[in-house]
Amino acid sequence: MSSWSALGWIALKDLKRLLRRRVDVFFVLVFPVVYAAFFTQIVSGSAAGASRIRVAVVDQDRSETSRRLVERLQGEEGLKVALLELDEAAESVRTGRRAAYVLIPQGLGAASSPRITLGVDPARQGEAGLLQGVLLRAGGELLGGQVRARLLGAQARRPGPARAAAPGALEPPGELWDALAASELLGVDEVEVGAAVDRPPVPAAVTLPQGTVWALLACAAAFGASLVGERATGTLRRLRLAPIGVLPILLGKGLACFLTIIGVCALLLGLVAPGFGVEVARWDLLAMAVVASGVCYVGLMLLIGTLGGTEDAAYRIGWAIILVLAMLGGAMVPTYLMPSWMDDLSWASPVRWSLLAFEGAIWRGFSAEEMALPCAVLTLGGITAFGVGAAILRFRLARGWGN
Amino acid sequence: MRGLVKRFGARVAVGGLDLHVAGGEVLGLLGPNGAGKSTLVSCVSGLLQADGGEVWLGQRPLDRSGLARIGVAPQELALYPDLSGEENLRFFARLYGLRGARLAERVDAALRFVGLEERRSTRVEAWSGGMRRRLNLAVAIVHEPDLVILDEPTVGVDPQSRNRILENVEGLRAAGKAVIYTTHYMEEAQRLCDRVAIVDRGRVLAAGGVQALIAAHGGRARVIAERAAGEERLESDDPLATLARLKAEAGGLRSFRVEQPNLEGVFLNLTGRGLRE
Repeated sequence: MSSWSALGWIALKDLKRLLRRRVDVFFVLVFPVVYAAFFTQIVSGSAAGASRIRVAVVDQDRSETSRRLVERLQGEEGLKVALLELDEAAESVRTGRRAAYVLIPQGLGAASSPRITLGVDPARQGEAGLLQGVLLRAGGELLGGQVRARLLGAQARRPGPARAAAPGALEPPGELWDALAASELLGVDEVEVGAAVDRPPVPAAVTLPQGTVWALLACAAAFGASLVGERATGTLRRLRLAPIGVLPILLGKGLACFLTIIGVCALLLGLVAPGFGVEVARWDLLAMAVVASGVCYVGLMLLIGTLGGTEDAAYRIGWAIILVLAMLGGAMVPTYLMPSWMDDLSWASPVRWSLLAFEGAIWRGFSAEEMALPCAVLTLGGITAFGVGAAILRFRLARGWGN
Repeated sequence: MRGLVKRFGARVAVGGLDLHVAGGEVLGLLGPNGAGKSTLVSCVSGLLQADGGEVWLGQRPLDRSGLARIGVAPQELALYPDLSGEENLRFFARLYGLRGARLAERVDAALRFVGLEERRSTRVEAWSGGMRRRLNLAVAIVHEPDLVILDEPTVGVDPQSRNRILENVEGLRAAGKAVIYTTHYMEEAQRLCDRVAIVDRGRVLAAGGVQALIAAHGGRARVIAERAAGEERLESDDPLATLARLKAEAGGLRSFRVEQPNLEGVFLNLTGRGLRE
């Protein structure tokens, strides 16, 4: 056999082996599709169900004008509008559920220089800019007619030759009226919500929690893979031979993972964060967020530990899961850039809850009550994942897995 | 163990097995691959819950507390390569409740027992296969168990390490431990075991002393004679008489070899010569 035909056989053998390793097939064929699909959804703004900015509208005016403004905003394709009271609206922005709120104050319709307030999430300035544009346009369309009528009325009352004879020749185009109304008569006051912290958050206040969540995901993957490694090398069997039962073994593994997570968080949020200019508003709430996230990722670790036949396979499968959770949860791309359906789905990812909890403690000005929800979700999710993982492991061990 | 049964779905891995091993005795567990040895060991050591029958340790049925009286050296090297030999021993000993001076004393004794005192502080990943095998054994006995189960403890080791391990097993017997020893090396079983159980398809095919098994199932001695006409193989109950007859016959006897019945013959006679797995 010539060397060249051997080359072909070697290539064929390697292709066969690749196709038989499910994890490799996932990364070579499936994951790129998932990745491409994810970012396609993100960047294709014109696609159906594309990203819509979640906005709360507070109508304190309750006039015909304000009703029409609300309807106009509700009809805006890029917005997802909910009518709320001011407290509720502000809270929903502070807790990250909405990008902004629009406050239509009492007397808007009757005011000569109407102003509305836009309360924005400081982390979502990009959306705030878009909203400003939408509001000015909507305001111009609604108020333009009134202003035009008012200006024309004033003009007609001025002394001099009758203007009514040729009104069209003197009247500026409608768009100009709208622009005039928008720029000069509808004022938009922007306020930052979540400002229990006095100073505005630095960019690192957003990116550092993201980095921390990545570290927690890495902990879950590493410890999950090491559990599989223990099974593959036989040390799990040896541990089970000791008179201690399976649960303490799993809890011991979980404790190691948990302590590592605490250490990583202490390092990143306690020591590194000040270097980036990040000041933590509530250390007690941050501690709650870290502990709850720790519980959650320990549960995830155990689930990963039930996957794969070898440490290497488990590590790669674990990372596949983690990348999807991270993509979905906003650790790669901010959730506000996601289509609404994906934004809704993102709450299924612990990454989103962890980010919310960290940001809540660092700069969103969460109260203990507000922190309770993300912490409860993370803790319960972690306990559930741990329970499911432990049950799967016990089931498999009882059937001779790793014996 | 009495009437031990273990099924995996419809497959019966162990089907009503009776065996016992006494203190100061080495019981050899022989069987082809897939015979049920590992499942049996897993049931006895508490890793698997038997579907039927019972395992007794001394005067009590085996429960979790009884596991502390069992030491197992699994076939795979179940050690942490990134820890030192001493760290491995200390870790596993602690799981059995050893603390303080008693822990230090037992770790020293186990290292001494397998001849690894001088390498105690180096990481296991830097050790040879033979050294790791010996540490695997040391971990099994560090908590001073009454029953020691050794699952093919000499696989892949050099002759020196193998000899040391066999001496260790003899030492365990001398110390009054009950030892269950599984192996595919018949000469090891013949050297070490007071009794042997030959297992296949989840059942004990034969059990007893090595000589008794050979007498019962080993067949007759084999005389291989080189004669003028070529090699001749004969089975005989009295090899000397057979050789004398061959010498007297025409064609004479240029050379000869006598193969006595042995444990391998017993094993092959009972389990067949067909390939498994």
